[in-house]
Amino acid sequence: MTRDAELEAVLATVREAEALAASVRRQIEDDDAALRKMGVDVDKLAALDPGDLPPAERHKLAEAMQQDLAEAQAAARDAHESRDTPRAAALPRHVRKMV
Amino acid sequence: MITGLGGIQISQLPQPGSPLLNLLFPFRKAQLEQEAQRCMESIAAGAQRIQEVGACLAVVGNAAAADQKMVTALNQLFQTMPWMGVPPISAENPALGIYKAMKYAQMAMERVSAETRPEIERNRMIGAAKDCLEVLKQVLVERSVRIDQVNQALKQLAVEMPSLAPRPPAGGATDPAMSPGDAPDTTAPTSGDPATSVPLPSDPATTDATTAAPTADTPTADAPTAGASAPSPLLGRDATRAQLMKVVDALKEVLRPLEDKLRQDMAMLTVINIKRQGVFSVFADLWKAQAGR
Repeated sequence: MTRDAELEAVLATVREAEALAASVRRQIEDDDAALRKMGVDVDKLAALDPGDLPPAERHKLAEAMQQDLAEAQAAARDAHESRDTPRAAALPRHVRKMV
Repeated sequence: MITGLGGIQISQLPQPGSPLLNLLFPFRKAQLEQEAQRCMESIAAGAQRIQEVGACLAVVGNAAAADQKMVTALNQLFQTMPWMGVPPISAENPALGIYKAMKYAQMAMERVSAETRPEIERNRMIGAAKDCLEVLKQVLVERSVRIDQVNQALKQLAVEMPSLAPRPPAGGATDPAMSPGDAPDTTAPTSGDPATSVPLPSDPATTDATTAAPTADTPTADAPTAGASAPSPLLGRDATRAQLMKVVDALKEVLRPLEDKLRQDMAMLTVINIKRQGVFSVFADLWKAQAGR
């Protein structure tokens, strides 16, 4: 691989990442719009304080979030460890589907 | 009691058989979106930094490519003036090659002046050598500008690259035909005859100009000083191709972890978004079911 090709490959990753971020941002906006359409007050949802939850539910919430993050971090580790593999194989399967 | 779901209490949502976590939708939504936002910000910052490093790499790459073109063009020029005897400039050390070529042009003028050729021919040859000297001075100035641009780009990047500090080659052979210290100050060309501003070597005939290496006192522009807080320009005016490539390699090293981090952020964001979508769709189903009741 030439030096220019290396840089181009990195810049291609940048474009993929920016496209992914833009896509997620759009999806969040679309989902909020769908919630509003359903009659859900999204602003009120956002203002809710997890501290108001009963302890058992708060615990469940923390566990759920911990699991979400653990899975996300595992995916990030996969992406890091497989850095030297070809680009298509460098991301977990569910990520490849998205990107 | 938790309220706020569009005026409906959470307890009013379908309870039997529905997973408890679905009732935590508002909170999971907020947290997952917050996490997604963090990933997106990290991606934006990483992308920006990569583009900055990439831009710097492009400047260095352009400088190296311009050197290559310059060397090719000059060597072609020398081939049209074989009587000057200028050795081909090596792409590895263009500045030194140019200094040498200036010497040879100067020597050629001296030699031709002393030869018993028709005056018209001597004048033509001397004129050609002078023109060649002007070209050489000009390309040296242009090269200095390109090196300055590289240094400026590196400075703007404000990245620690101590390994790039120019180090004089240890025990480098001296070139009797040309000491870099003799190099004319190309940043401020003299208004007089350029040929006279280049000192002559002592014995050009015995010089092996093609194998000469830079001397230990190769001038560098503002070489870093110990204890200096602000990073000095990394490349000297006479930077070699090897030094330029060292900059490229160092920038690649800066790029590598940035790309790794970007890929990690992408993977994290994707998983977080999948979670977010899952939570959303389950909640939407529950909500619709409740609304239809």
